[in-house]
Amino acid sequence: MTSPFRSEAQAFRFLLLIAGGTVAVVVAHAFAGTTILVVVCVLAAVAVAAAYLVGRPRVRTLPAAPAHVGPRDERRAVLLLAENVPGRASLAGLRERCDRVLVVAPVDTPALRHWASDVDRAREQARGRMEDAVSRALDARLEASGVVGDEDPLAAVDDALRTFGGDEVVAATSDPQLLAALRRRYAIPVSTA
Amino acid sequence: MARHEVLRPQAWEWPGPRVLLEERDGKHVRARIDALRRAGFAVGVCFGPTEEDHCPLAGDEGCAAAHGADVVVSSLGLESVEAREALGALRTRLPQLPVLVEADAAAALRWPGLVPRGDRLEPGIGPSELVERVEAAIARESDLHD
Repeated sequence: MTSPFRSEAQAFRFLLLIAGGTVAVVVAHAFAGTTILVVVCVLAAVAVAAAYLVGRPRVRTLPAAPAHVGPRDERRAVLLLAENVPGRASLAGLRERCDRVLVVAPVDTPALRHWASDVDRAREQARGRMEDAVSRALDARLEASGVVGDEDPLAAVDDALRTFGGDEVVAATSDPQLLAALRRRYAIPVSTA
Repeated sequence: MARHEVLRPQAWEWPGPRVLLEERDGKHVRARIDALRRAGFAVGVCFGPTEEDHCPLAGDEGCAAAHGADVVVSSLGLESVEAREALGALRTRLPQLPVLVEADAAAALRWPGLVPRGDRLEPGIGPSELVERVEAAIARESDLHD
């Protein structure tokens, strides 16, 4: 787990701030009226939250990529089915530049189902999308296989790259944030399908 | 207060010898990544420190990506104070780590502590020659440990 503080000194200063805020609230409670007590409580809470947010580490992801897997001149792609199943034109374009494709379908689990541990249906749906995409890829004369991946698309791609390798990532998505996250994370070409 | 930056070490969840490329501009980076990956290396890319974001290696926290690397290739140049600070921190904190520095001969002469003989790469070095130099640096390092 990443520490929310930059250093022990910063954590200690944060602790002092909480102690100071507590003392202020106790003094206000003992000697002042309700209005002043509420104001002191709000100010203390804002000060603590601001100190935490300002001191929190900013995470910068280094783009990275695993070693190439497979014969030296073989080109592999990981095809992430984030929302859509790519059309024939996209798959034909992929065939022009890739020899093998691994289709990765993340399990799309809505929060309510996740908390109810009802992920079986979502997994079945992901499997259906994956099989549909693999079938289309085979029709487009791509050497293709598929897996159902983690519900986090980035973790799903991580897992695929770890085992299958991959010289590029192709994301079937219209979500610009996901696309940007993929581009920040991987030091290999990332495109959309 | 400047916010502290943590570099995620996700590069090194992957097996194999690992090369950290420090590249300011993306001119050569794609071809270099491709050549290194095809030679069997996992590759991470750091775009280097700036005036606002200093290299975490120069602070208390260190840099997980650099600590996990088997070789660092620094192409940040030696002109900026931040780049020299990052390179100096690498040399100080990780003295066993092979660090190859892309720099012209004059710059290397000016800062010999940062670019020892044998660690200099010609500016604009080609991808296949870079792979050879990285492989040689790893072999030299493993010879030292045998």
